Amino acid sequence: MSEDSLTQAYDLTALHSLRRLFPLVLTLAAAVFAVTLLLRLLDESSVASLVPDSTPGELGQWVADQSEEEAPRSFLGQLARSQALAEGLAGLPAGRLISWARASLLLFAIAHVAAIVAATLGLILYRNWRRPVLVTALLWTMGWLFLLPPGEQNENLALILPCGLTLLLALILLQQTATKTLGFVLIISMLLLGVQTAKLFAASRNYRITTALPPWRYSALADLETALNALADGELDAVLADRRDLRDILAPLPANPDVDPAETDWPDLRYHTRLDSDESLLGVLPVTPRFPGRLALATPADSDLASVRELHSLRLGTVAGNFADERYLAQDRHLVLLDLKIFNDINLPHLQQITEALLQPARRNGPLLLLRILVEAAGHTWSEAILGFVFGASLGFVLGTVFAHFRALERGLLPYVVASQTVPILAIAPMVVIWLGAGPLSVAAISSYLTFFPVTINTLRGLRSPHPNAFELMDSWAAGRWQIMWKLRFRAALPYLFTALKISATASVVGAIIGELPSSIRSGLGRAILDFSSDYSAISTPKLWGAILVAASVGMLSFLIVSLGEWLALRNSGGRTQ
Amino acid sequence: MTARVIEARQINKVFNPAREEQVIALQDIELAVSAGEFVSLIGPSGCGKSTLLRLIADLIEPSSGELQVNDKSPHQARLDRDYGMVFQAATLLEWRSVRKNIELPLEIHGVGKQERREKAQAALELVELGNFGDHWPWQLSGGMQQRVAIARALVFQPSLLLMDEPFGALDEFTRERMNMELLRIWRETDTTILFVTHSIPEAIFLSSRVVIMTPRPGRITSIVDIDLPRPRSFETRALPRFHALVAEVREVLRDAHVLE
Repeated sequence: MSEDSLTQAYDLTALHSLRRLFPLVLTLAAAVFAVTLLLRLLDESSVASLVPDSTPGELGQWVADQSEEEAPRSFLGQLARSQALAEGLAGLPAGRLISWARASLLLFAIAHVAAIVAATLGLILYRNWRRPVLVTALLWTMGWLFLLPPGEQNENLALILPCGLTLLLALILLQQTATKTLGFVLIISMLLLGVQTAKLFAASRNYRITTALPPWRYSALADLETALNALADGELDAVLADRRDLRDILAPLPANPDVDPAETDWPDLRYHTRLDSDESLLGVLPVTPRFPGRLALATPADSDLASVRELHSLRLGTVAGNFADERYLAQDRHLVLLDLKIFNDINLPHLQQITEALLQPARRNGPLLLLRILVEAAGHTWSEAILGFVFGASLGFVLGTVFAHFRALERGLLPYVVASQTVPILAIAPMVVIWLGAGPLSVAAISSYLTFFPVTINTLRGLRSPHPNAFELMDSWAAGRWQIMWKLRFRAALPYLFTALKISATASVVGAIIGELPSSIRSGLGRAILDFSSDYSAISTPKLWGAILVAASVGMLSFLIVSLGEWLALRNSGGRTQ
Repeated sequence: MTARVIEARQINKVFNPAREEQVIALQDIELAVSAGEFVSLIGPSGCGKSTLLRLIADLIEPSSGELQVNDKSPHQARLDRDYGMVFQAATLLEWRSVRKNIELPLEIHGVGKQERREKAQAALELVELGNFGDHWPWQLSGGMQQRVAIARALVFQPSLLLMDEPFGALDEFTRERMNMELLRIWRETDTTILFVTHSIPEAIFLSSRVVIMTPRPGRITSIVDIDLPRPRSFETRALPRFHALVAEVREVLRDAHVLE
């Protein structure tokens, strides 16, 4: 063998093994993480706090509380109750339920380790079962994110890092064979991981990007009198002081007829009662610190200052050590480029907090689970949405068909149909309620207002979609108007129609939720969302998120039903039109 | 004497009459086609050959003149399903299988299911696609799709076949094979064919007569009888007479200032 071909062979092997090595390293990292978690769960001392705080632990505690009551309504509560009765106890002790939770977490951890070890083996041996096993491992890893409590920074990092590695690994391996389900799981995992990571670095504070601005140039004088004298002598352009101090000794600007400037101590000076107190760049980017409402500005009487923004280039004075100095002028100035308030536990609660909120009574010791209340509300909203969808879709189809056949009507009416969608639905909704009365009927009407438009446009487009030659052929066979409609136009429009119906199905739910607000219907999702959003707290936001999740599920369910209808209608059409 | 299938006298067609953008598409068209003929319309773009075809098919109406198809008005001929049409695009409905596409004209004519099946199968076998009935249009090549379109035009056994540049979008090899196919179908079905094309050799190879049209305004400049022996074959294109006829048609078009 020649030297050339030998090196070539070596290079190829090196490349090949590199491609194998990378996923292998990732899998091993994930395995190490899994074993660490397992050891942590086996260790009695750390489990004592970990398990009660975890989702299963908290659920267990809550079930124990439920079983002591008269009639627990939840499924879990009744299960615990019947178990307790079978053992002749009034209720199951919380400690026992927590030890059950611990056992199940342990089982979970063992299965997780097994899955990762199997995936690693599969990678080494290059077996084709490595992919499904790896997906299982991935799901388990994401399960940890969900089950374990949000901990301290380092603990969170220990959780997030290996999960991220597993996710990356799955992405690399599954690129070619990603099915719909797999894609779904991957995206959910990535979202979960992304939120956790963002929260880790934001550390429960707001997420901000700022740039420093030059500080204020000002002189701090001994007392207010000295400062105002300096201002009167022209050594300063403006003096910042407490509003109440200035109010007593200066005339206001704009002038007040009740106050005569000549009677004040400094007849040439004024304090500003109206001043644009926002300091901002381009009117959009805020500058901190903002001008506190307690401060006021004293200037010569002929000053035409209108905004705090203009102060920066002036010679300013204040009184040493007072509020203006300490809380405003001495502070660092920043230009705030980005100020996100979503990555903290109140605004974006952990998924397990949302689940807990859903599985607990809506009110303390209330009779019904939040989930059950929300599902009932969703049922109510959904029935309105279905009515609106059916009505809107029929109206849209009829309009589209009429427009497709009569060009004059299309020219005349289509602009109004388009214009109708530019009117905000929040403005139309109260009018509809006045016209049709506060009830499910007006909610359905508001919902159909959002629904009919896409159906109209797509029906029109679909009915016009066949090639001109196809119309000529139908004519050459002396086909009637109805035959052309059903055998050509309608059939060609079906894929367009189903696209529109899918949009409309989700829009009808949105429309129903919006429609419930002015109708003051108490039993729908709209009311629930309104209730939970009016209260901003660590208890209420998970409930609001729960309501959002339920509302989204209703929309998705509508979408899935229409998709099923589409599949049924178009499955025998060559697989191209879908 | 054989029966007249198409008889056109003094046909004029004006688009947008009495307006600024008025276009004289056809002027003083005189054309007679007898049963069993294969007549090609040839000429540059805008000479009105497709317009003439659509007039005969009653898809548009002439501005003046007298037009008869099978001794009837074109309208009556259309209602009687006297002709089938084939376009440059196969225009198969993509949600129907090949068989269902061919059955479509029969469905519209209210033919029973059993008879539809039999006729569609016969038409498929005529274009040698007997085993492709259950395929979807997009699974077929361009040439096969065009054969399905021909089968669909012939499935109700019309006496006249109107073809508007049917092979214009096909590659050269497929086109020559389709020419042979078409001649075989013509022989087997006794159909009269009116064939619109851009290609001089194609027109001469296929036809018994070639009608040469010139634009602005669209009119018939000359009609050339093709006296090549039948059945025509691969060798026909090599005959000196074939080349002489091609040269003759080119000559006519050059005299009409079309080839300059």
